[in-house]
Amino acid sequence: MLGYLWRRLRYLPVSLLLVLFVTFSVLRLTGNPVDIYLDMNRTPEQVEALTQKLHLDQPLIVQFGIYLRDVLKGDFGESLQFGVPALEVVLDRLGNTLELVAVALGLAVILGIAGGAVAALRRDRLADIVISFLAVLGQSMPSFWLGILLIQLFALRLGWLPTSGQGGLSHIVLPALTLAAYLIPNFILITRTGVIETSNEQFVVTARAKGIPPARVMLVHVLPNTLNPILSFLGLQLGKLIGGSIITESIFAWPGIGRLMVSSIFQRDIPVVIAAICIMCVAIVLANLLVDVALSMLDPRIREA
Amino acid sequence: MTSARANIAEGQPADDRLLSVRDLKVTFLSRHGTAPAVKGVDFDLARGTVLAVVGESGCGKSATAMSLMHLLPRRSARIEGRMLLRGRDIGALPEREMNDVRGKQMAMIFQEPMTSLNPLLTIGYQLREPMRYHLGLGREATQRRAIELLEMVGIPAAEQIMRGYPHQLSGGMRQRVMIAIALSCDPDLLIADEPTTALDVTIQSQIIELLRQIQRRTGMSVIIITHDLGVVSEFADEVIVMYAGRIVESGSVDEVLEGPRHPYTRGLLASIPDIDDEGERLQTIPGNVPNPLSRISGCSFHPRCVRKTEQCEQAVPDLTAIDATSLRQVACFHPYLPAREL
Amino acid sequence: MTAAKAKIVIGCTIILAIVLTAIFAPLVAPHDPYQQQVILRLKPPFWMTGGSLRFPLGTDSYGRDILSRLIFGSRLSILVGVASVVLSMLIGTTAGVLAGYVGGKTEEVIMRTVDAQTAFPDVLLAILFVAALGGSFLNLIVVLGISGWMVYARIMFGLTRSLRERPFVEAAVSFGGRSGYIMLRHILPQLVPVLTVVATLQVGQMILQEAALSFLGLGVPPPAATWGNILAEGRDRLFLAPWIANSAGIAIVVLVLTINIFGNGLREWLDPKS
Repeated sequence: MLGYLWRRLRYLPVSLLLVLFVTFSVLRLTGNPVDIYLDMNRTPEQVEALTQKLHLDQPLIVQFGIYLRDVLKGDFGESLQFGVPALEVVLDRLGNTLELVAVALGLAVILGIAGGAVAALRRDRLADIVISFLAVLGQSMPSFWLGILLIQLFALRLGWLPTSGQGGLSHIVLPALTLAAYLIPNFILITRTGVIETSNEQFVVTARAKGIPPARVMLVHVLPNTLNPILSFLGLQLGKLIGGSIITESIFAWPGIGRLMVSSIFQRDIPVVIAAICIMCVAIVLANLLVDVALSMLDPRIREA
Repeated sequence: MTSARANIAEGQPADDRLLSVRDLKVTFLSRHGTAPAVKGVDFDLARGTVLAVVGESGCGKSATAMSLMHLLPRRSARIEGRMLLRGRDIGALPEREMNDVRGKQMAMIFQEPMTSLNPLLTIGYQLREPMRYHLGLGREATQRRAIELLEMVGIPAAEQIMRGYPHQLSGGMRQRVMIAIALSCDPDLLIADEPTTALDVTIQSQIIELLRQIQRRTGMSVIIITHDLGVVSEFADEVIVMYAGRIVESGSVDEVLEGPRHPYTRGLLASIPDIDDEGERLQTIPGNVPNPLSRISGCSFHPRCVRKTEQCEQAVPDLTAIDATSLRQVACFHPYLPAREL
Repeated sequence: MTAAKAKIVIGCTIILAIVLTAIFAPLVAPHDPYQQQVILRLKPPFWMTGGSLRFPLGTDSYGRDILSRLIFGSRLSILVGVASVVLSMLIGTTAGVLAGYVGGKTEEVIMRTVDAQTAFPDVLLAILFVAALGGSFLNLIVVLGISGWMVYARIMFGLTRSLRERPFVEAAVSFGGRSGYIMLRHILPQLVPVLTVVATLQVGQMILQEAALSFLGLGVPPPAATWGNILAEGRDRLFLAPWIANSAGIAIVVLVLTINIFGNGLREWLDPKS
């Protein structure tokens, strides 16, 4: 098990390093920190102090090295917008994003798999045609527009749900639905294809030949074998999920990391941006790891590989 | 259009016949058109008999077997005709009742042992599944019986295998597991669809030997589908030869293999290479097995037949009895006569 | 006519119509998409009260005709979609075929990069890129191209690998064909059908991405009439003037849906198994 974890995680530090370096360089090089940190009325002494503090007179590599040293201590610098350590700012909002992502993922999995399974079972009949068309339609729609539509309908017209912000259950419905909409269409199609293909496998014929009732065949034999491609697909979609959460949080003013990152980029709050990107990368790798573990728990063949 | 044999067989006491198939037709529907895979097949199977169904790929033998078990997809296969299992019409059964028949009264094993088992479930689970469902046995009882079955099919270390997974077993072992699964609820009829085709030659004979022993011991009936005439002679009592969806010859194994009457059967037997033949070209039947989508008028074999006449191009020969017992039948206008024309 | 052919024909027709509209935009559009007439701002579409056929889909907050902006915007969307697909296809196919054919260390490096970048959200990449270099038409195409090559690399890698083992490749090697030659003349042609389908579907995806990036302010900067920009502008006026956002949204859906249907039809036609 340990060896397995090592194999999966050993590239993480390298990737993180690379990401850190790229981000740091890009942000340092494309905006004069002096202009960013100090306002118009700055004094030469202030400029001097800042130069010393941020080591701006050193070559980029050295600057990065120093920064890296601090990062390893957990110090990403101080947020320009909030005046507190950047890492703190990010971690504060991490929970909100996780909450949103978790609910959206749950919705997507349930609706996607159920929809795909139904479409496969009623293949080429009305239910399948409708579901498949909705899925392709979903793939063709900018998800954030769907979010906007939902706001128009449920918040503005009907007044059932709030338009933005975080709060109770009613606040999470629209954002979660919008984010789920990124995943549902593809889940439906993958599940549908998976169920159809799996149903043609020989072992499913064996199961039917044993006289097992069709419901059991579906639950015990077909669906578990379909989970493999679905889970793999999920692993690939994690990046898209994060990207989607950035946009969704922006639309609904959901106080998560995504929204933080966008505003921080435009405000050039470099420490926060870097901290946020780091946390996101770690999260993605861990999530991929979780998916792999789930896959190996499911499939004995992978366990032994 | 029923065969002469069937007509006489109607008069036999029902006890003797386990399975009775009349005018079975299977048509596959696809976007390219309709393909009749089985064009009117009649046969009977008595208890305790091993019937071999022989023919090349595409002759409809698998379709026949699958339709007996109702395993063909409803949306793309149309089945007509009557199938009586112990006098009961299984062709018309609703799905739920058919599920009770499948696995319990009739069981089937397939050609590809490598993909016939669910890779995610243990062997034990898959073995116990039909027993739990059909016999309503509890965990302990099924566990015990499962181990017995594994031992019966010659799998050592049964308990360990029960906890293992299919990918840990070789093809031959998996086929043995399949046999164990098929036998688990004491079926009256076992259908084996080319059970040894995908296995190594040495394993093939082991599996056939296993099937033979089990059949002797339990007295169950077996339909074995194969294109291997060696298997037919070793294992089967009766044989049906199929071509392009029809039965062209049938009878006891000895009679058919030693004195084939239909030109196709002759061709099949003649094309088996004999180790004593010296340096001769391999005999083949000229031409190819027809595509199920194509329509051939008259006897389906006539394009490849050395004995064909105009009559063969125009009419389809019925399966007719050759001798008094009516078990020996041929569907040909010009069958070979015994011994004289060898 | 099979379902696949129907999809191809219908899809093709509609796409052609849209493309023609885009090409002949100056002739088709009733107004100048950039002309602001503040007096005429926020006029609703003609089927609502206060609307008129002069501005069939209404006007935005600057008094610009939405229909004209949509028509001219189609040019940008289509161009960005196609150009970024060409770019990512070039990068990805080269990488994938190389990795699949040469194998070894090359394969390791390339496929690891594919994995790494797939996990990385492309929105983030775009944010960084635009933060560094600013938003522009060219930058948008480059960003989208760079964010999309992995799809091709993966698919081409798998295909090339399986093709490499085929006898006809062995034959080519055995009579002295050099790697580059083999990859170009023998393997590439086999990849064309799959490539076509994937590229077609990806055009739709790129258009969606463009909309998303523009929505976040990372696309071609206003007053460019990209559909994503129109959507973004509409988001701020949702209560007063929902037609701004909705018309852009519908336009995007129509184009991308048609592309998807066409692409799916293509795929079904080329490989009836699916």
